[in-house]
Amino acid sequence: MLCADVGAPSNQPEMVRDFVVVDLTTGDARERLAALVGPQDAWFGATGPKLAGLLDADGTAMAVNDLRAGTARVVYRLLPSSSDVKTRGFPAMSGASFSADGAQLAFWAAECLGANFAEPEYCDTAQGSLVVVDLETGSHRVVASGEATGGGGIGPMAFSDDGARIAYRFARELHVRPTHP
Amino acid sequence: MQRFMVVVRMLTIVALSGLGCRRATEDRGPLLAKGVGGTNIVWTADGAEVVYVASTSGAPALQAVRVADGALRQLDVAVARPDLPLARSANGSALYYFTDAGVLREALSGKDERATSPASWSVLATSAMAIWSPTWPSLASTVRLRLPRWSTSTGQP
Repeated sequence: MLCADVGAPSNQPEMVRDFVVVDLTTGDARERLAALVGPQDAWFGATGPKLAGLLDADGTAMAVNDLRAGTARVVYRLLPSSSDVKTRGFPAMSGASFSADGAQLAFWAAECLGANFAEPEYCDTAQGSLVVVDLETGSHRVVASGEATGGGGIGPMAFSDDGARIAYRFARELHVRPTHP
Repeated sequence: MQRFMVVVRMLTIVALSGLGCRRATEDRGPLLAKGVGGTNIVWTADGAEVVYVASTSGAPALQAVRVADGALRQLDVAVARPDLPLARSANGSALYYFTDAGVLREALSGKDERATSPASWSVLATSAMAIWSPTWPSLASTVRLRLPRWSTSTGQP
């Protein structure tokens, strides 16, 4: 089992920097692995444990981190235009989620379109896009898009077991779409 | 004068809110259900339904919506904790959640797995993420944990 080290606050998984592979038959910590990204999701498959998360401090590069190899590969980068209206928390990529086979990664990409008039450090209107990346080919697709800040904003997502569909929440509403056209 | 300034300010806000501010492009996809809360959503293993914590006017409840026609059903009778995630076994035979009484409960059988005490809650909250390795021998019959806010080894039935 892959476990996060306990150094980070339990409500901020993206702050976790160390992971431990625990042998459940013995209870021993078999490996200690350092994260290169701010983890948003983990996948543990035949090719070893991987993390998905932001690579850099400005939050514009989503990367997949192979924990055993100690490498991180950028799989999506926000366009420069996403920083035209820079407000607290925007632009952002969040909620990353691997498909069950680890072949796809989904996440929200959000850019601020207009700052709040009274409190300009906060975003008033934001464009949210649900992006699905094919990790084998590197191609990506925007599956859905809409206002990301109103009515509860954007929410969690989940691939179906076969990876053919994705369910996601937009403003307390549930939607489902195919991951491929 | 003060009232005049208030009116001017309000008119300025109204005018600016409609000018120069781009609107988000809307393409949300087919709507399946409303009143969806909780920290995560999970598919049933057959891909027929999506399970979530419904938070409408009543108490939070575990609900499933059928993808084909949007039919809703309540999965279990207990009140769910919307701030803690759901966890499904890899083969779909078990779906765990926490009740508002702090009890880990298996929704498909409707059975409490373990009554948690404040002490065990602190144990559950010691880590941010846990996930089973693919080689764990009884993976098919155990919960595949993808729990972003807490770590637990209680997933094995």
